[in-house]
Amino acid sequence: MTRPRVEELELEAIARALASPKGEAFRQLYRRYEPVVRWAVGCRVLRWPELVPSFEDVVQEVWIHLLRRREPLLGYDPGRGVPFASFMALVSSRMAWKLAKRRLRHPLEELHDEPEDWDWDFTLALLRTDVLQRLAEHVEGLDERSRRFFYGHYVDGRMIKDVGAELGLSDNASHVFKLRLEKKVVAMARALLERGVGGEPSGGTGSLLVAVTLAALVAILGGVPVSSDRLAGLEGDHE
Amino acid sequence: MIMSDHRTAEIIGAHMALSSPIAIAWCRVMRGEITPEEAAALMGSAEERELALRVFRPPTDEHREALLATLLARLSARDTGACDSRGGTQGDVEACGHEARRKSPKDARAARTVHDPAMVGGRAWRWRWLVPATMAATVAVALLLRAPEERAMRYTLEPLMGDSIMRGAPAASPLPSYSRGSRLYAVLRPNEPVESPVALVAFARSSGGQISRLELRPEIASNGLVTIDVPISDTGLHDGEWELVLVVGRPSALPSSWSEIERAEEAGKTPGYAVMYAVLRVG
Repeated sequence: MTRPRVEELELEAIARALASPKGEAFRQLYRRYEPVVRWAVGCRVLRWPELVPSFEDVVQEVWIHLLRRREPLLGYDPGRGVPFASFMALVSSRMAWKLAKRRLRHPLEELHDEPEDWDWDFTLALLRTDVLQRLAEHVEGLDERSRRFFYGHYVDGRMIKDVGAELGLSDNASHVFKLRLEKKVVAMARALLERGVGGEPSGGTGSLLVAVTLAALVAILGGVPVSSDRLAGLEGDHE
Repeated sequence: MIMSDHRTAEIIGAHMALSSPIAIAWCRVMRGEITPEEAAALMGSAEERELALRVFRPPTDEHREALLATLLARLSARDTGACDSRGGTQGDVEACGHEARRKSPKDARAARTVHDPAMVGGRAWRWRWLVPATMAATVAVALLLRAPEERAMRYTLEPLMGDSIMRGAPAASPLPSYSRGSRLYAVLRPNEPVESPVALVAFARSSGGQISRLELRPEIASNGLVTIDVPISDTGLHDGEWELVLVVGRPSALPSSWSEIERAEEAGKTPGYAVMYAVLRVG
């Protein structure tokens, strides 16, 4: 992913903004990162020309969703080597992908509308520039059909059945293919995290500590959403 | 692990989408390294250039501040929702068709359009809350309007008023709210004279996505007017936000389950019934 390269806010300022998304700290965060979110959402919306007139709405929706379900943002870990701007871009891009598909009335089974505050740890562990780059290379190295399917659905945002049909798959077979492809990708990701990109395991206790720091900071500054499990994990890690 | 399998794939997809040559070019615009016109020149056709400029041309500072004000107003209107990823929120009446059906009540509210700077601030903003109550039912019906030969039954759901209609005072929340001891009162009016008997089935979807069928025991007049007047405690709705789905049609045509409605919509079929949506809050 290309790097947005903005002047980053301090972690505490980010935490303060997330703790109170209506205060001055949040205004500062918004002004700093709005261009990043706009860019990330734009890169998605541009793939669906019919959504371009609704672009501003989608950007707003992305902000609303990110602020309402802050688990992904709270998982930000500077120790993973991803600047907050790039992190925002990634989570905004993914959210835009989902919201755009909703607007396009893609079928429900494509939207995965589960609560977003569910078990993010594994996904967050992937949010390192080197890990994502290596995973993208793995996707490039998949067999032709898998690679085309991944690009068609997860990058271009086309419907599962349409991408599958191009590959000669029936609707049902397309969904089965997608599930298997996801498992394959997750297995690659797990192996990469365990093996480590440069020989050392990625993530781990040290980075989890930093990850919890932003969430804990938000809690200290008056925000709500830090689960007791997370805080218990923090205490455990300290020991 | 299926729940996070797709999320992993989505994040990798996001990374790849943001690594494309087009993304890189527009990132350079964001960084101030090239102009929007220079980035647009990389696009294939004139039409693509036009679309890209509409999306990526940076807003003026004034416009950005207006967008921020809009966002803050939306967050404020949500009461505690922005601070609690699990808790309830307040919001506006949201009705209507496929969009509402696909979303939880909270998501449905988030989908509203509020980016017009002219709408930011005092009176205009208040209108944003007043108008949806009227507009919601209208849009619900508008979505059901189809070519004459495809037309099924068409109804209008009059805006739900929540407890405010009982108390005679403006509602504190733009979302129609009902206490446990109040009554759900709703009127569904046929757009055209109804000549054959009609019936109603109702469903409710919780913000967690759980679907329940409701027994509302409506009164149905010979002209097709449907009136629901039932104690909230009898509806089976517990405290929280609900998407209410009301279906009116000939008894033989009515869906027996929620999935039947979904199947008909996804198949693009014109059912022999009208579907109306609204969002309400109990408790």
